Amino acid sequence: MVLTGYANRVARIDLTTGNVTYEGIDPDAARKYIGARGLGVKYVFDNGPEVDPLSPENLLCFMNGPATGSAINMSGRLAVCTKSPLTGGVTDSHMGGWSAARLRWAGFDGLLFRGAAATPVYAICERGTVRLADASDLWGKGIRETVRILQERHGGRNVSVMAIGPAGENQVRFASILNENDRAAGRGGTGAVMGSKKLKAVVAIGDIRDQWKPADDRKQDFEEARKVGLKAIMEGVLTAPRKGGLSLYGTNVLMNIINEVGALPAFNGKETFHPDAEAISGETIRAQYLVEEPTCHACPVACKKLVEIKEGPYAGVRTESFEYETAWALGVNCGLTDAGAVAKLLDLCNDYGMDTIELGNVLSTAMEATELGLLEDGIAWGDAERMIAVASLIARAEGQLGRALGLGAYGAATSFGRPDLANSVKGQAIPAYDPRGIKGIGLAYATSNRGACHLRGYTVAAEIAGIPLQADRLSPEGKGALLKVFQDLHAFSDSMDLCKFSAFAMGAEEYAKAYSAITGVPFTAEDVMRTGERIYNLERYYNNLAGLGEGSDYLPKRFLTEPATGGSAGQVSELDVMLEEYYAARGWKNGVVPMEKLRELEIV
Amino acid sequence: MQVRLYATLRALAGAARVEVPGAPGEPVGEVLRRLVAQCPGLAGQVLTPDGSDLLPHVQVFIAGRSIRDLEGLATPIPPGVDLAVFPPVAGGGQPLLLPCIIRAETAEVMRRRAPARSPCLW
Repeated sequence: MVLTGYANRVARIDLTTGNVTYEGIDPDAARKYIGARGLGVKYVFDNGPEVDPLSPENLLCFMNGPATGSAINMSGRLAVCTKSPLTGGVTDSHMGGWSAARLRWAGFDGLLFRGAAATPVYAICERGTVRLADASDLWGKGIRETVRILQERHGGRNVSVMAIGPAGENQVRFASILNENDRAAGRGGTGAVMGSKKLKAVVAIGDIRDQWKPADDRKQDFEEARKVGLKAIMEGVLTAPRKGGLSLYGTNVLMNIINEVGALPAFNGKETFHPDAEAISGETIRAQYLVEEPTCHACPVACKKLVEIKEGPYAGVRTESFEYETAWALGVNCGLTDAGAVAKLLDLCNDYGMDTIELGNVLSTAMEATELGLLEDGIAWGDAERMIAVASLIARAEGQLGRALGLGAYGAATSFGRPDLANSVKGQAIPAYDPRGIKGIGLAYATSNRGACHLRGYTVAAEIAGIPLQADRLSPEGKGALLKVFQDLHAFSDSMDLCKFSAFAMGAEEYAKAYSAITGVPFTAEDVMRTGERIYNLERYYNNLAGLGEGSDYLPKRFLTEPATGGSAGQVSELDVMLEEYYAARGWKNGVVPMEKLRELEIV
Repeated sequence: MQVRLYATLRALAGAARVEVPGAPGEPVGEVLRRLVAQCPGLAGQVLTPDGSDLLPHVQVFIAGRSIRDLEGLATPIPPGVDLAVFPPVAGGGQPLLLPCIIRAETAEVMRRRAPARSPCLW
């Protein structure tokens, strides 16, 4: 039986032979793992956990969810799933914009790339077919030029391009994939995997006239589910268009509040407060630099902030999106509070195709190493010009420094002889919340299946804003159970694939309603949570088999031993207490999923 | 004393910082009520209509600590500090089922663990 809502078409592209085959969605797998992140991880799992991430044998999946491209709000996303060259575990990295919807309108639930081309190629997806074309003329070009050329070549407003830049080509371990709206599948090094396969770009030609429509017998349910979600978003105090904080300031509305509580890692985490963070906060960016507020498919929130620098050495830089994570990573984390310089670095990341979070951590790690005398010809705190120069070295894999830093923060710190300088977990560096000042997010970093990440379980919502209930940010108690709920819920929404911000307005009940309306499968909020739990455990099982077993859930020593400053003065992470509770909630043994749990969740 | 305002509250008050009469030891609620009286644009944005409580998800910090984790509006203001007031900036609607699920998960975990720990935060 085919579930409604899916295109029921997945392409397998062997880049070694150029052979393309097509298959439907396996209904049993779709029921268990939904789509996007869940189904993508299942494909990666079935490909085997022992594969070398940068070898032809690794699988690179571009996966839509059943909601992608539909009129369900915030459904303009896809997941890129693969074995990460940064962590050695499974990763899923999502991008917004319009590419996901156009891939769906081109007739696909997903694209599965394996093998490696002998010479650069790009893939063209149109009306349910995929063909490969020569990309020799594009190799070496930045993402913007690549996108422009391919959009001109394939014409029309229904063309979307997802591409890598020089960083992906050079297999920089934190290379990203971007689409034409500067929206990135940023984390985990998916761009490096794409580069290892000599796949420069994916072009989706999706005719808007053929866009996703619900089955006839589902139209009423679908419209009701859409309206429920829309109402929640329009009335949400954060998401309400032109009124809510997220809509007005974007994610960077967080800069000041996180700094206020002393949970803003500054100077590579030596401090947790920066006195000048306001200069790159959402409030300042809106007042001084904002020029446009683009949005993604089916989203009224428009959280993306396009800025233009009009004065100073970076005048003329026009780029999006001035996100909180980016502003933090390339800004205060590196001792830099010049908005123009941060915008310039962001712009370079968008064109080279690099994860801004990891790059910021790479640079801050190098800065601390320089301060300690471990790195000759290094980088001083806040030296914007040197940061820009080094970013280019990294993307182009030039020189010893460029190649060492291209390994990511942990790889770079190891090459300096001080792996403890990297604020990384499982090889991936932390985002913009300090685990000493927000205890639950530290547990989230430690236990995230894709390395340090705030988006696997956003406990900040409860610990800072009291959503859906208030938790004491400085207490370790109760965080294990809290995090499990967030992780399971997010695993489900990532598999639909709905924007993470939908969780600010919608919950498990709304997700269940949307899933049911799309697929015709009766679904409850409890089903949502159980399905999310299954997906989270499948990822963990993959990682266990890939060698990330007992002891792989940890935090860098700094967060356990060096006290925080500012509004969290004196605090350190109490990870052990939280881990014990978390494993009890998960039914895991020291981070390893037991066979009985896998059976209980129908994974095996 | 100085009250710092953030995000949407700045436009409503017409300033990022407001000087409000207040003395050390005074409850936070008193200063906030004076703030709203001084900046009418903040009416209905920080306190409930009768002034007896904070609106949901509004956060007020003293030296980095949320007054919700202290004594709420009754929290006495220590000497030498200012107040920081944020509208909801990391949250929105109330997915109603989630608190129930979280409480149930927490209770189950605590049931399975040693009884020495406090049962739950919420």
